Amino acid sequence: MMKRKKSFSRAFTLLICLAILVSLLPTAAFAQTRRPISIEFDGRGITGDVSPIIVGGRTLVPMRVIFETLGADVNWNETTRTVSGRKAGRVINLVIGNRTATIDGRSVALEQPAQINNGRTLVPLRFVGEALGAQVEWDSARAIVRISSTDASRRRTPVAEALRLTTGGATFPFPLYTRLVTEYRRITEPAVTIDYASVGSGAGIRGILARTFDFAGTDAQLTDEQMAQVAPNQILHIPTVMGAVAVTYNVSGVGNGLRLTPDVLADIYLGVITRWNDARITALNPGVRLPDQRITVVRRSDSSGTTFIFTDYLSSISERWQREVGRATAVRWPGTTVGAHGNAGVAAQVSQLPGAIGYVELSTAIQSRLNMVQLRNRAGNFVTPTVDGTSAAAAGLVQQMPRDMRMSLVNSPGAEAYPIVGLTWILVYRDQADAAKARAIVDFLRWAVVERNLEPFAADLYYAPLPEGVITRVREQLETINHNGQPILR
Amino acid sequence: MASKKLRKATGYLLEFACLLSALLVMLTLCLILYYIFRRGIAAVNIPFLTSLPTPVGEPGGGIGNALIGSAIMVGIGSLLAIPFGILAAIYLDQNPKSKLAAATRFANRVLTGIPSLIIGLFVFTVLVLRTGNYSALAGGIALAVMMIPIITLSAEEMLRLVPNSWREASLALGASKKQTVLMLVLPAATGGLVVGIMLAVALAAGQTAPVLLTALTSRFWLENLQQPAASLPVLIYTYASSPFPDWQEQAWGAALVLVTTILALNVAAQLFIAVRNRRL
Repeated sequence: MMKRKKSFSRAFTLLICLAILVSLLPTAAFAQTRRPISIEFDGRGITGDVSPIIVGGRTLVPMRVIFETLGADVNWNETTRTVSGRKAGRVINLVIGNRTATIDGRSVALEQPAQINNGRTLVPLRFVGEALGAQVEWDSARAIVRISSTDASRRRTPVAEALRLTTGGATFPFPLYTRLVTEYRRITEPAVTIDYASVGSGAGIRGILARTFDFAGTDAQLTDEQMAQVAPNQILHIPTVMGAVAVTYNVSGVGNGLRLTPDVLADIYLGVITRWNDARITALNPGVRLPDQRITVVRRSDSSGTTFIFTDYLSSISERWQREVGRATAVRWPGTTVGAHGNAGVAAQVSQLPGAIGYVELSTAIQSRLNMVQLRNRAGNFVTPTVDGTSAAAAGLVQQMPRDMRMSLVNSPGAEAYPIVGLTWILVYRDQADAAKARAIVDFLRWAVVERNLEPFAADLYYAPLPEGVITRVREQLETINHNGQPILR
Repeated sequence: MASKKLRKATGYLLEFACLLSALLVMLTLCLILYYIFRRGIAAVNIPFLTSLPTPVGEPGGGIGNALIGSAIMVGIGSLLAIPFGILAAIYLDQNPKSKLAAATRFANRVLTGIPSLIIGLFVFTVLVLRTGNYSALAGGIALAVMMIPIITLSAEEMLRLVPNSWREASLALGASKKQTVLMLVLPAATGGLVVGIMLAVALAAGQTAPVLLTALTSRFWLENLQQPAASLPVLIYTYASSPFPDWQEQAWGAALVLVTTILALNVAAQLFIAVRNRRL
């Protein structure tokens, strides 16, 4: 009797031990096999150079991944072996191997300490995420860590006192920037207010050179003469988004998607082709009844980044255009043209003048419901301007991007690439005179471009986001911004 | 006989032509007002007048900061220009033949003929470039530079309309020059002075270029005079040339507010003069 009971309890103990072992097994297996864990921040995948690992049921990630995703500054102190993150006045310290972390000096117990794995500093994801005000969820079925921002985690404190930046320039990204500056002011505390005046790329460039603007927007990169007005490499070009310029027309009886080739487009703007039923146009559009109508060429009357992108394209595909007209924000137009002010002005002229052709940025063309030309790209395909076509244009050229990021995206070689595409930049001084302003500028650009907070806004307005490779470059450029030799981003 | 008839006919014809011209001017004004009213009224309501602009795609949004910005800059302009203008006019009136008076008159006439853009550029170069700072104050100064010659020239005309016999009477009764100017000439000319000032205020309130060059613009509230400031004309200019229908509608709304404010100020000034004249 006693024996049986003893053997039963022994079996029971064994069973429990086995159960514990089994329950431990999967995590141990994860730690060893490193089943890939992905991290999503507000529905967007984020990648680091080292993949996250699970130790003792806790996900550990490279410190930069989590701190920077949530907009915190992170520092590594080699002597005390401490990771410290700062954000919105909150300081989080983690010591390697120590199960106690501090939030603003208050001690918090950790189940897994920060550790160094293959030379990389890894920190507990949930602790850091929640300490910075975010929500962290673990989807075990799909091995995804979901981090969601909250009002608290979005809050940023780039400067100690409320600050106002005076900026202005390009009209093309103005709608996007109105959204960005409003959102950025909402999440900063003390508030950083950015006044961006939509005065045109030319005025923006003059403003940054005269230092009346803290930063400037432009669709046209600085010319070498303009760069020569300041010390070498002093003005940085920080790209924000890309946009397409659509060629629109108003021809009676012809719907959307008229096909044109680069040489025909150039000849229309050069005044060589003057009628819509020209043999070269009809040959490209079999089945389309083109009327015997005079072509009215509409162009911008004001100095404009859209004009720069368009003439940059024409210069890249037509030698005669490059020789006789060239690329600029304002050019001497050949032949008879009709001038109109702003994208909206060109759109209005095109929709009112029968026989008109004109170039406007994509969002204007879509807003004004204009017919858009399908243009033959370098790969030989006819492409309608779209956001995807814009992204494709960048994808084909990222490899050749120069260090200073002054580059043209027109006539990209990709099969799906739309050929009239341009970058829009923010121009900013590398050596900043005012430390507080410098911190605000760098934090704004990091928040908008590097942390990709502009992307949801950009998509609504038909701007294409920058490719991954370019964003890395933007980060590198932001790291060079300094005050008295002290970099702002560490 | 025939010549009398012809003369009468010519008289009627000319009278008719004058009437027609007057009606045409009225009609143009009415048409502009009607069109702005029709296009703009849909956008105007209390939140539109009191709230900040919203970014593209976000509903609502108003012109509150532009209204305040315009009011403050026109206010600064008036504070600077009215005393200068009236004092200069008094000098011109008292010393009509002096060389300085001739030079002042000439300078003021030239100034009224200079495009407002150039005045904006002048203040931009002198103030904004030197301080590196766009500000409401610079905007107000640019407007003052525009307003001074208009006020000076119109005030001089108005002061000159005060009959010399009155002044002589005043002096004969033993009043000093100061008393004559302060208690007789200025009160008698007040109506005309106010009209000249209103003209200058209306002109200043509608300026785009000088304000954009000096105060730039803003989408937020003005916190102090050293900051860029929004203004109605710049807001109308920006919104009207944007591709977004809701911004275009707000441009019409802002135009309606600007025009009605100026109209209301003018009507108020006329009423003030009418009431005052009845009392005299």
